[in-house]
Amino acid sequence: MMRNFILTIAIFLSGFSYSNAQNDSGFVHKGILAGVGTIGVGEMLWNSTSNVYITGNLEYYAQKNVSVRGDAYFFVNSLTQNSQLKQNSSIYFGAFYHFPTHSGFDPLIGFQPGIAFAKTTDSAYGKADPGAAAPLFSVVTGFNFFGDKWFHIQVNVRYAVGQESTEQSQFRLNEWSFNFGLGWNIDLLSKK
Amino acid sequence: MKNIFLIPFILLGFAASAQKDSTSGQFSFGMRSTISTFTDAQSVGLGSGGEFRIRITKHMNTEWYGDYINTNIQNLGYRHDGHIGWSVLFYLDKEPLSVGKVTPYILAGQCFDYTDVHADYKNVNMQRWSAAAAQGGFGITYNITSRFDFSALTQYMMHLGTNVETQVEHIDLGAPPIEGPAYLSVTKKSGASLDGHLLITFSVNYRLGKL
Repeated sequence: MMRNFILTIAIFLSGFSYSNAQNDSGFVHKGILAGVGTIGVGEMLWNSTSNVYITGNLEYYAQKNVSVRGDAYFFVNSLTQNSQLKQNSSIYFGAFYHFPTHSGFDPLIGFQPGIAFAKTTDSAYGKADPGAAAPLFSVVTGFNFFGDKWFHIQVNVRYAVGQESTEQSQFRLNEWSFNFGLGWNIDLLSKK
Repeated sequence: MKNIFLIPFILLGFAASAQKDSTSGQFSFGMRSTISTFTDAQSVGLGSGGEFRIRITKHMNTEWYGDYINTNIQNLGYRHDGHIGWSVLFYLDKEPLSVGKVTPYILAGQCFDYTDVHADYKNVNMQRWSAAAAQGGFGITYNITSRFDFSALTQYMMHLGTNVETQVEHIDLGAPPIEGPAYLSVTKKSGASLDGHLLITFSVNYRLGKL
C-alpha cells in the first residue's frame, strides 16, 4: 500500500518535472528561503515499528547548488500495535547539494547530523525509562519542485541511524522516513 | 600539560601575523557525525556535533568542535562521551581546497572530555571530566564548491588523565569451563595511558566569510 503510494507520487512528479523541463527557466538560485510543514511516516526495520510525525524544515540557498537546512520531527504516535516507542522527536541540521537543472525541478542530496529525544515503555530498577537524547546520523535525498513564485512541492526520503541508551532501555532508532508536502518560498535577495 | 592551553593563543598569534595571506581568517561553520570505535568491548558508538574552522594560512587551518557520542556496550550498559576541543589541520596539497579536488591533511589537537558509563549489572554508574585528552590523525576534504566542502577524518583520541574503562566479564558459576552470564565491569583508572578511541568523523562545512 505504502510502496504503491510512493511509486504513484514519484511517477506523477517525474512526468510533471519532465514537462516543465522543456522550457529553460531554471528557478533555483542563491537567496531562496524555503519552508515546509507536513506529515511524515517512518519505518524502523530493526524493531518492525511504523511511526507518524509532524515534520517541517527551513532551508536557505547559500549558493545556487548549496543550501543549509534545519529539520524538526515531532513524534505523533506509532502505527504499530503495542509499540515499545513512546517518544522519538528529533531535530537535524546540515547541508544539501542541489544538482543543477534547467527547470524548477531541484533534486538534492544532503547530510544532516541530528539529535533525538527518545523514550520507551521499558522499565528497570523500579523506574520507567525517563528517555534520553540520542545522537543521529542521517542522509537525505529527494527533490523540490518550484512550480510557482511562492510555492513548491517537496519530497524527502531520509535514513537516520541512532540509539537510545538509558539505564532502562537500549533501543535502536534506525529509521527510513518519507514525507511529501507543499512549501512556501521567498527570495531574500530579490531587488524587485 | 598546562602548556597545551597556550597553543590556541600561539595559533592566534600566527593568524595575526599572517594577514598578508589572502586565505588567513577564513571562517567556516559545519555539522559533523562521528563514529567511535575501539572504546568498549568492541562496541561502536555514534555521535553528533558541530564545528567551526578558522584558517591561519594557505596550508594551515584550525578546527573547533563539540561532539556528543552514545555507545551501547553489548546491551550490558552504555557509555556517553562529550567532547569539546580543537585541532590544527595541515593541508598536504600544493593548492589546498581547490574545487572538485580531494585535499589530504593531517591534524593534531586537544580536547575536554566528559564520560558517563553505566553498567546494567548492579546498576553501576561512573562519570569523569578530563581536560587531558589529545588527538591526532589524518583526513580528506573535498570542495564541492569554493565555499562548501565535505570532509572525512580518522583520528585517535588518547585519554591522558583518569579514564573509565569497561570490560565484559562473566559471572563465575564455579563450574569451569561453563561461563556464567556476561556482565559489564567498570573501573576508573588514573595515570597516563594510551587508552582511548578511534574516531571517524564526517562533516559538511560552509565558509561564511572572513574574520
